Amino acid sequence: MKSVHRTALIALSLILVLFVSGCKKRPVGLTHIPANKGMMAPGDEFGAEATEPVGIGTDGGAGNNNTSILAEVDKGLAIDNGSVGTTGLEPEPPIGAGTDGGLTSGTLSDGSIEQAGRVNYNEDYDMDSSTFSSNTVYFDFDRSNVRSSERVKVEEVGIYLIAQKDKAVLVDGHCDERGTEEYNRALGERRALSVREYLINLGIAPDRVFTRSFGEDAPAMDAQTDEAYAKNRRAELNLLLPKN
Amino acid sequence: MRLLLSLLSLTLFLPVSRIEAATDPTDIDITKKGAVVDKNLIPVAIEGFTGETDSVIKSDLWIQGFEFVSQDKAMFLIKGQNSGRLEGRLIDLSKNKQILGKAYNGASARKLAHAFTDEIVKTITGTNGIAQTKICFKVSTGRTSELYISDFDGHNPVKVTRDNSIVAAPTWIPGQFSLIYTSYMKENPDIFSHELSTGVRKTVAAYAGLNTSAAVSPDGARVAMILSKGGSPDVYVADIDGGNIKRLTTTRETESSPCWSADGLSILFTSRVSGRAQLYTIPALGGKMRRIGTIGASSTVTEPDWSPDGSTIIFTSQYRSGFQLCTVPASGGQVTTVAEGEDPSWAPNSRTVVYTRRVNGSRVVSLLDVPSKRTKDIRPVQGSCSQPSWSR
Repeated sequence: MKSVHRTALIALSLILVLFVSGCKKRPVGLTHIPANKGMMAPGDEFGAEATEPVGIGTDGGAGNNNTSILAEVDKGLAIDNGSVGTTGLEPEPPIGAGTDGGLTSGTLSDGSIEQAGRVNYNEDYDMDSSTFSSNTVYFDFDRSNVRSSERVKVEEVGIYLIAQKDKAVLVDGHCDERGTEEYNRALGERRALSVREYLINLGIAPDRVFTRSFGEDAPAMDAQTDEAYAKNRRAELNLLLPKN
Repeated sequence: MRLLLSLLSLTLFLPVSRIEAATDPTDIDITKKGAVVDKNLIPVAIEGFTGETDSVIKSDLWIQGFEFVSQDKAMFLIKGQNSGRLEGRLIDLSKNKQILGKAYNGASARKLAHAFTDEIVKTITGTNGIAQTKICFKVSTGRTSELYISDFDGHNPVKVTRDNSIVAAPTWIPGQFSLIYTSYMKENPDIFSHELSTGVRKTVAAYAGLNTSAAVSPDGARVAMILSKGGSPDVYVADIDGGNIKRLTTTRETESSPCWSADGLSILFTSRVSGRAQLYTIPALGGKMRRIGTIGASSTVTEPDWSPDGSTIIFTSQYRSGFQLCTVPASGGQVTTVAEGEDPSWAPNSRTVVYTRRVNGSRVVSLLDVPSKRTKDIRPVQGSCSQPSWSR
């Protein structure tokens, strides 16, 4: 990455523009999700009103904009299960945050570094996928270690983040299709975590590095060739600029 | 010349491109009059039915291990008519005695036929038929995917999600008309439950990082899943609503694809802790990982499923050339290759399996009769269909 300062300047002026214009960017087509820096509490129900069965093809519609801090889930389609008697379920009252038994905080003895609380990427940040577009890390088949030839890419991102203390990064892990789907989803996450661990070891705070896996669902190249497979085994780094 | 020699020696180390399934000599077809064709198949004769009723009876029974032959070679005769209601009889030919006689009405021809074949299977084998069960699966079209449910044979598909996002790993909640699945609708892989009659969805796990591969215990009370909130993809168990979460595995390596034992006491999953993906169990309440030996399978085995009767594990064995489904006894041991394919899910009868095949860059859902190794593609909807799961 050659023009760190120029890109930083552009990013900075972007933030200024947004701040000045006072315009809250809302991606088209997404349901508005209230800012939620904590973990979503398991068992919380979203947007459900109806208690009687709804027929096939009903559009659940947008979730309610309730005033709680809980994020919303749009109602899924309701299905008429012809041969089975259908009973509508009463919506359950929201349950408080689930107890989280048995987890130690901080670095665990096996080297894993615990993740911070959940953020909503498109609501809490502006995502910039171009700044680090040439820092995509590539992996060997069925492997998740950062090869020595790839390390300089991660180090460049580390230098940037050390300088730009307010920013964060989302590491997206991907696989080629030559594994089974759920195995690949976990492998993609393991790849993203390897990059995350590397950045943390460079001195970036753990709560500034997020991971996300797409498994084999988002290939860079849609062919069944070794060239395409090699391009798909990757971790992409997205710069996250906090919105105010 | 040196190049030629080294190329030649390379070919000695190339893996075989076709995996031959082990064949037991006693399974060989014997087409002598009166002899049983395959010891895993029950020979039956059929007469009197027409149209869709006839084809549904045949396809229901074929995949459950029945072979249609002429009456002189059959053990049972299925006869009846379907001009108004469905009237069906089952005759035990060795005793020349009717052992089932019923009339069915009040639903579509397919549904009546399914009800009839379930009674045939129950009468002859003592176990419940699967003709009235359902499957769920993922359909990918381009960059997004949605979930569907259908009859076990792929008929009557119904779209269950419309989120224009990525979905994965759908599974049923036993005892309910509900699914649990992974969705990226909140910009991250999270696990949701979805009550199908009402459309109500609840978050089960939406931690930072990966939330996927939900598997529900046989009693419907708990869910196992893969979370990376601890810094590594690990097996966690929680109550079905996601509360009381407990981490089970603590390796730095990748765990994936948990499933439950029939008694709900153990969880079977894939782990790379040894350096290659292998199968392990761990007590559902926590404890030590134990390796399940898969002798004869490849060095990369993934996506296991434990039969509802507890006896057999089916899993995916991964090769450079593709994927094979293999079975192994629940305690581990020598594997049996049963079909080309991946990502299997047992039917409630612990005999039939639904799985995925790759065809020309796309995916197809298929059925497998494990004892006879019969397979049949089912093509419920347009698009690449994968990750099927059988309701229990």
